[in-house]
Amino acid sequence: MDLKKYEKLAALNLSEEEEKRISKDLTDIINYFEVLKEVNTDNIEPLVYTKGAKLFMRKDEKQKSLDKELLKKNRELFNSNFYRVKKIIGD
Amino acid sequence: MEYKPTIGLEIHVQLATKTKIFCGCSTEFGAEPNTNVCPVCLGLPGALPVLNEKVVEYGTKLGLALNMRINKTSTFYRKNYFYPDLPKGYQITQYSIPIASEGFLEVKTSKGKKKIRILRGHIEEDSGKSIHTGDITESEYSYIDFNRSGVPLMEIVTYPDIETAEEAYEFLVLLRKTVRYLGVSSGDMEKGALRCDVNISVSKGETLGTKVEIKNLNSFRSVRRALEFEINRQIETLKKGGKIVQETRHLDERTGETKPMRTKEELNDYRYFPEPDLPPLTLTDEYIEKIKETIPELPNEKEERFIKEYGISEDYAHEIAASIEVAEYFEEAAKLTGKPKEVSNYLMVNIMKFINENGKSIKEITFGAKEFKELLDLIDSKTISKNIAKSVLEESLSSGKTPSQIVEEKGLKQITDTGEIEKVIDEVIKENPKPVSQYLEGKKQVMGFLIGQIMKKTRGKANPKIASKILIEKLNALK
Ligand SMILES: [Zn+2]
Repeated sequence: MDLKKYEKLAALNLSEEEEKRISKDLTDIINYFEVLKEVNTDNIEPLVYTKGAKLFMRKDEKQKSLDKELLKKNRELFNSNFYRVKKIIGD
Repeated sequence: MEYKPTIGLEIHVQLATKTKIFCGCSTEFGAEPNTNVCPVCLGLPGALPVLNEKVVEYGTKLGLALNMRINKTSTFYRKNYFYPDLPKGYQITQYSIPIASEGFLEVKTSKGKKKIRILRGHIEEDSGKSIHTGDITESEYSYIDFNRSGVPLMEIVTYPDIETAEEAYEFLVLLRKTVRYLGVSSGDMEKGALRCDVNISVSKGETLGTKVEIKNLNSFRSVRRALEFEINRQIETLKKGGKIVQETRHLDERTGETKPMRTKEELNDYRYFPEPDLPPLTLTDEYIEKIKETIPELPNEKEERFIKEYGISEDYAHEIAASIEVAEYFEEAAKLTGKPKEVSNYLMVNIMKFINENGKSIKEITFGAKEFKELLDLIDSKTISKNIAKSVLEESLSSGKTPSQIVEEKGLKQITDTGEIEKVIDEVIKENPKPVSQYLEGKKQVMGFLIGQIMKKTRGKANPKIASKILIEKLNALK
């Protein structure tokens, strides 16, 4: 398994020690799926939701958005009306 | 054997709801940055999405209008990728079972009709918008406006049935007409309410060529230009023995060329998984049936009916049915006057010209069905000539006065009194001895000139039929 790839995808920077530990965990998880694969799932609909709750919908009605003054309090994050983050476009 | 292009479209249609897909923030375009944001669309921890029922209604409506099957159970998924304008680190979208599957649109091109199949239509949320100040490669920060984050979209994916730039263009045009007929989207490409990505490859024979994606096409013209350029580029490359690289390109609006876009291809791994915060969306047959009943007659159907029912030309029917407002205007006037051909003619020639030149919509003009009837009645009763009718129409459009009011005020009543016309003709014959003798020598072309003189003297009010009949009689008498 290419852990480096997933680190990149999740924008994480793992230490060597963390990498070792997580690599082992993930390998165990993937191996467990190999066990699950043995179950016969013929004629069984894929399950995408397990909680059994019913979808609740809302009316298309406006609600109050966040107070901008509140946002402005964090000057490091909220700068001249915009959220400001370190640029991440590579190369 | 010729190279044949294979083209598929992915179109994002912004659904015209008042609020976002999962929260009550406004979707208003052009609002001050970051004013329409809340914990849900900012992806703050603990905030939960609640689906907007209008999004489901519009998605169902659009799916049905595109001849699609509405799936009675569809599911939401998380599409994971890391980008600053995506606050949660994933986009909520639909994946394995979208709200609508398998449909088509039939487009008209210069080569005839063509059915373009649609694979799927799914509802999802839009991302925010990154703004970079100055040079993108130099600036240290990205600035983000989250007003667009969570705006509802329906993504329409076609099969790769498209073979020319024209077909792609016509598909988009028809899709825009359709969403506007339905009222489910403004369809404004300039405002990002309709966005188009294309996939294109060229090949000889059955095996498909390497696929290139062109992203962020933001006008109908761009789609056409980008495709024309790209089809040619791929064919020329292959003819020279070159290879097509699988990549994402964009259109350089200045040169009309497509150029490779810098992307990290290896990062294209979205790790979809079911959205645990949203149970599946289930729709009943009754619900789908109820939505079906709200779908109006669609552009193609209307066009065909206009040709059959009113006998107007195919071109006019196509143009009139392009907008539901113009179509309704036409039909009302056609019914009231009983003269659909005349109505279509004045509408497409004079009224549309006025509308385009003055940046108005058909709903804003005061010249409606009633005024149309008045104008056509004035022609019928020979009160005014067709020529005068045009200027009365133009005057009515710009001043808002009724046709009869204008005819009255300006004294435009056609002169049908033969005595009065005879008097003018006698004058014209007297004042133009040369053309008259030319006519007598057999040069019949001078008739046009002499009629012109009569019209000039009567300020266009002489009934042309009566005038030319009398003129010929008088000239022949001189022989
Ligand atoms: Zn919100």
